[in-house]
Amino acid sequence: MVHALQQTHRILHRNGVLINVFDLPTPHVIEVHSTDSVEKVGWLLDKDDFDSERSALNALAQVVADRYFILENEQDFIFNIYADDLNELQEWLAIWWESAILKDRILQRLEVLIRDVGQSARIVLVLRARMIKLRAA
Amino acid sequence: MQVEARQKEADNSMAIIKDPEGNEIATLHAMVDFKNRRVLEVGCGEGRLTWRYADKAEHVTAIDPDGKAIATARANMPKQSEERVSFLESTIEDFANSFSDQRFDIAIFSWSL
Repeated sequence: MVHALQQTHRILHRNGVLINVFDLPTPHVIEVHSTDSVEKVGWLLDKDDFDSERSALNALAQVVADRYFILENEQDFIFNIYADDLNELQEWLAIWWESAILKDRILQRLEVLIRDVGQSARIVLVLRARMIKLRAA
Repeated sequence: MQVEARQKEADNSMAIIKDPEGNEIATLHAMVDFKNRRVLEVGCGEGRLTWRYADKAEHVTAIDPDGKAIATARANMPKQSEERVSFLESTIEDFANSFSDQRFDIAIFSWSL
């Protein structure tokens, strides 16, 4: 990761900007939304305890410490991912987030809620994300 | 919703919808001005984020090591973006070595570091 950032520094103009968008290394909330309610169901965990996200943060800190870049700005935001049903969410996680853990308790709760709410139910994975702006030194 | 429809396509026809609230792109525009800027997007995938800012930039080079995702991004390219946006199957390391004479104003790591 540090090498990738160093390589990027090489092809940026002097004073060029590097933006990194990533999810924070923390469990993410799972909710069920309907037309008139929001129900928090639990947490999506990570088999690797969000190790890759933590490594990315460390890599960014490293290139700032090594004076390739100067930290100019950072902002947190919420990035919601919506699925119409549980199968859809699980299929997506299997492709894009292999280390995600949805515990049985959460799955059962989701099934019950979706059944109770009916057609307007949507599962929402609420990611806490951060955008960091670095200036090439 | 047009944005939602495009994002559904971008996720291989699954009805997964990402950030319909637009929090990510609002944060991005608050941080950088794309006007007259040459942009390199690293880890563009199928171009979900690319389409949300490309019309503001001078030129966008969007790379991803996933050839299938790049093919999808190219297939979804709006006609008016063809001269402004280039998709390339590559890692950042290979790209930096192969195009070491190129210089960019902005590099975006899009959930890819």
